[in-house]
Formats: sequence, C-alpha cells, structure tokens
Amino acid sequence: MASTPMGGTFNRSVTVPAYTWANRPASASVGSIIRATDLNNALMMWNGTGWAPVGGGVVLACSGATGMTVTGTTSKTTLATVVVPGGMMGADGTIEVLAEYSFTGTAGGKRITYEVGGSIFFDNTASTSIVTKRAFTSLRNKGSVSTQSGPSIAVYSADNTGGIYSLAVNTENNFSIAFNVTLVNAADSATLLGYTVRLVR
Amino acid sequence: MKEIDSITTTVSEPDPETGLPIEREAIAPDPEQSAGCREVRWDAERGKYVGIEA
Repeated sequence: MASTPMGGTFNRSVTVPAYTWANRPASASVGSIIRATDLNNALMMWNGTGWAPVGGGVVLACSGATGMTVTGTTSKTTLATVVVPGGMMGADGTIEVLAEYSFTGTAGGKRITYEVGGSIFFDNTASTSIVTKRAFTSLRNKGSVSTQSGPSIAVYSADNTGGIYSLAVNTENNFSIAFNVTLVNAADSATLLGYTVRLVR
Repeated sequence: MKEIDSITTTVSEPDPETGLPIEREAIAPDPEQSAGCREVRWDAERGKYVGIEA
C-alpha cells in the first residue's frame, strides 16, 4: 500500500490474467496483457494480430546445469533440447540462442550444431587446440511463420564461409531446438556449460 | 524432473568440409518420453537424459 497526495492509500499491485500458453485467448483488445504460466510467467501483450512479449523479448530457457558432457563416442550427441511453443514467433519473430562450451583433449575437432528437426541452423567446428567457445546465433522468421533463413554461422561479428541455412519450420506448432556435439575423436570431450534461448519480436 | 532414455539413430547431414551428405550415428533423448517436457538435458552422472516438464 502507498500514500496518495490526498492522504489516502491505494494498492499498487495488479493481477494479470493467467493462462497456459496453449489455452491463451484467441484474441483480445489491443494492449491486453496475460501471464503465461508455463513460460516462466512471461507477460504477453495482444498487439492486434497476436500475443507478443511485453518489452519485446522473453527468455524461454536459461540453464547452467552440470553434466552436459559427451565423451567416448563419435556419434552426433544431443546434449540438450529446448521447446519453443507454437505461435510465439509470429511472422517476424526471432529466436536468439547463446551457449558456452568447454573442451578437453586435442585429438580432433569438435563440431557444434544447433538444429530443429534435423535441420541445421548453426554449424561450427572447434579446431583441435580450442578449449572454450561461446556461440551465439539466431533463427529468424522471414515474413512468414514457416520460413527461416540466415547465415549458418554467426558468432558475434565472425565472418561466414559456411553458407546460408534455409529452414521451413512451421512455428505455429511447438518445435524443439537441439544442442548437438560431434567429436572427431572419441578420446576428447565436450561440455555444454550453459545456454539461453530468447524470443524477440 | 523425469529421467528419459537415449536412443541411437542414423541421420544424414552435410559434411562440414565437403558439404556433401554423410550418414552418421546420432544419440538423442527418446522423443516419446520427452513429450510434455519443455527442456531436456544430458546428465552425465546419471547416464540419462533429464526432462523438465512444462
């Protein structure tokens, strides 16, 4: 409670209607806000055509969990997956993905890929002597809820010789981002130290 | 949290050097057991994937 200039008091708190994302209202008055209980309690505002994050962004996942390590195999190994709920991106939304890695051993390179349904949108191989890596990229809808493209390597200001990714993920449905590592030599190891997945629109 | 088994499959993907498709073994969480989880992570100590349910 807080005092007013007239000497009275009022309650400053506001209760925002709460929904699971799947059960959100199909439409609302422009400017209406809901709380998505299963999306880290993200506040989403109706912009006339869809629910967009208040302030332009929302963190979907953020983890520094231990134990996300691969060794002893040269198979492509998924160390983590994060689900992006359907209908969050709209036609012009972007998913930003940031992750950090550490490596041991110098027997071979360590290939890192980010994928949706087996389609790669980030692809970079750490050479044998590299011991840490920070990898940032984005998955951007290009004027359609089901068209994405962009550089397949995008480590801050790094130049790109790796080509262009082109995906056709229908982002109106749930989809999963996979953090994959492939060791060239099974004696080495790679650890996913942490990741952040953020929606911007 | 719930434990999730891993499955091994064969996938085709571009070779990072040549760009040509190559077949490769892939290890990933069982998609059926992962249903309903918003995140799944490998836990090396357990030797299992761990899923965080929505």
